[in-house]
Amino acid sequence: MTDEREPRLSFQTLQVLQVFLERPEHKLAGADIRVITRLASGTLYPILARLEEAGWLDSEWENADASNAGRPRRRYYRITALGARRAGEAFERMQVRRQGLAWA
Amino acid sequence: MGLEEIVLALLAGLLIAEVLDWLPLLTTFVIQTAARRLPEDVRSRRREEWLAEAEHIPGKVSRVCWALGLILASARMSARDREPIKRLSVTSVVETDTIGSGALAPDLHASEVTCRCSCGAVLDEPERLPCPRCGSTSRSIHVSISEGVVALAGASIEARTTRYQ
Repeated sequence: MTDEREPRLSFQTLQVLQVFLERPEHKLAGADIRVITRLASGTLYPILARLEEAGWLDSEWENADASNAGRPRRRYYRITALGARRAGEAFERMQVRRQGLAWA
Repeated sequence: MGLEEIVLALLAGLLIAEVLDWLPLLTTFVIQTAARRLPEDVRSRRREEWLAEAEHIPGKVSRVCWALGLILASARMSARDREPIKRLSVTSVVETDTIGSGALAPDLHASEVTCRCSCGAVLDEPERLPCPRCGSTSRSIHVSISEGVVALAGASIEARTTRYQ
């Protein structure tokens, strides 16, 4: 489900987006992202929810049948084309600002 | 080492083992509590997702700490869902015979003031004066109020019975 509200690009949100931009073909579970970014659960999951609502991330259940596996299913996230484009633009803008500050 | 110290050490060990055995249940309880605070349409999804994630957190105590963070996560996620979803505006007409200002509360602003009698002239007057058309000092003041509406997932009803009638 997409949402017209743009996600707020906090430092932590950019950290999460960077993880996906570096691995555009990978499906990542929240635990994988937590290990890479070291974000607390109270921060990470609201960010994932916001990015998913905005259509920047897509998610799906793992293929394994939970009853067969004897455990709850994992939810995997992947960056969408919209998310990759918007995140790329955001990082470009940041790069321009940083260079502007360096030259000032 | 005396007998008392040996018994105390043994009891402490048993107590720690007991507490550690209860931690997985505590983790599950905290996750379910966090999920319950979310809107109903995402509750079961988050519960299953978080229960699966918990299995990838090493250490029983770390797992409980991680689960406690989900309480904060669910509060943040719910807060976002409570943003106003619709703006409502209500227009009301205040009828007054008061001469001079003071008919309205200071934080209310009249969008339009008309003469209350049959002439219905629209008046732009800083202070109440007789209507230039009919001489009346009665006014209809049109007031508009706008507020955001917040929709919550649940509603509760409290009822009391009268036992002694």
